[in-house]
Amino acid sequence: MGEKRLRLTIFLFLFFLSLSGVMADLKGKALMKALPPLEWAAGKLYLLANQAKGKGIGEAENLIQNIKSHFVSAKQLQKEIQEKERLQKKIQKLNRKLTTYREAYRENKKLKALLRVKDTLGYKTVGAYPIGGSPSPWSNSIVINVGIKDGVDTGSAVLDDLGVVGIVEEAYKEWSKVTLITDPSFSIHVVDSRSGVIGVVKGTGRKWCTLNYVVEDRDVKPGDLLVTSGMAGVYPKGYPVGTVVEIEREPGNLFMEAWVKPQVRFSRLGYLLVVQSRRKVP
Amino acid sequence: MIRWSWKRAGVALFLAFTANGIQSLLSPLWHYSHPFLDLPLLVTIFYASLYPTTGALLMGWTTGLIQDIFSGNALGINALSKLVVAYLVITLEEKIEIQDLLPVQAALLILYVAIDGGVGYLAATQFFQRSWQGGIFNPDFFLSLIINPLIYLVIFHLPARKKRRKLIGKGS
Repeated sequence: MGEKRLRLTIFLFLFFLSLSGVMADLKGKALMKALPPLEWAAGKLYLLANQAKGKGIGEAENLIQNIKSHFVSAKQLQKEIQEKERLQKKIQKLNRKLTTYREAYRENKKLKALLRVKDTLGYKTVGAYPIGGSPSPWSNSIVINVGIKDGVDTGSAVLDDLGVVGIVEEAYKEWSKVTLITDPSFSIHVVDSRSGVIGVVKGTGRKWCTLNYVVEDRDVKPGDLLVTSGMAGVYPKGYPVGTVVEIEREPGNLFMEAWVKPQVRFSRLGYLLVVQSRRKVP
Repeated sequence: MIRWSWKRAGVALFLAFTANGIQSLLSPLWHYSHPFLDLPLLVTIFYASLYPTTGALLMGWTTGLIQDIFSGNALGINALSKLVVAYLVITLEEKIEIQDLLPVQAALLILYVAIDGGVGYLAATQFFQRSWQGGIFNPDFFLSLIINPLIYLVIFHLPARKKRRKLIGKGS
């Protein structure tokens, strides 16, 4: 068989294999269930990559410092300059320490805010943090470091101190995949906290979401805060989802078109709360 | 004809995993939304243009599959788009020498990114009924059409050019 024919055969084979993969995936994630070792490997890789990232940054900083200090000492031989160098190093060291403390302070603030949320929620929750994001352009999802062994299950709500982050799409032993509220497959029932108008917030695949199924003449204004209605029992009632930023009312249309800015700042996603049980803590 | 090599296969697999790993770590940069940079795609194009053989098809498909497994939402979408792109790169590489022609390479890179986006978008909307605001012609997609080829040229083309110049300089 010629190289070109072989290539075409393999291309067609893989093409239809991918298509059948998509089809199988449509019918209850059959292939994903058949690939638990790959899923496990992907999870381990997420954890490893996350650890390597932290270590790598520290190593790179040390390396840069070493190179810098070498060049300085080679050039400057006088005692005074050495003293200056020593002091500079001390300042750098202190600066690094300060950065660490600042980071710890920020983390502490965030954790305190989450703790307040946890207390007011009254639901059983578990703390988590993101260890990776989806590399695909066709999904807005993250991977978090808690899984079935921590009491997380498919359908668990994921929150941070500012608002709703998303929902657990798939839960594995040590980690879970979370679909973010910006994903096009995501929708959540909401209430306008000012006027009480109800609607559905849907993801768009971009930074903002849309408010859907709100009749054109209803009282919704830019700046209104949308909160969870608690109707499906997945999310705690009254938790912030997003703010209405823009409304388009076109005559003849039954529903208005509204853009919603999520409360959560996805660029600064830190510690999260995963609702373990939908039953309230007594 | 390039022969099968276990070493090259290992490197290809390593590239596929690393690209996906880095892409995953970079995702907070674009708010976990539509990435402007698609490293797995760039690696696929690079590998296919370097080794325009059947192995590159497998590499592209594997990279896409890993991307699907990492993202976890729709298995096969990225595998399909990367496979198509790899096939296109191999076919074109056979017909024209692209490496040395920067404008042609830039235009082709835009085409590859557009095809990858188009196939992915079609698969996602047709099979999974997922609707993106602004459809395929949204600003994020257009931005990725510019950024991906630029990054590719900086990472993969310019160093090679520098190396070539060095070699030419030595020879003359």
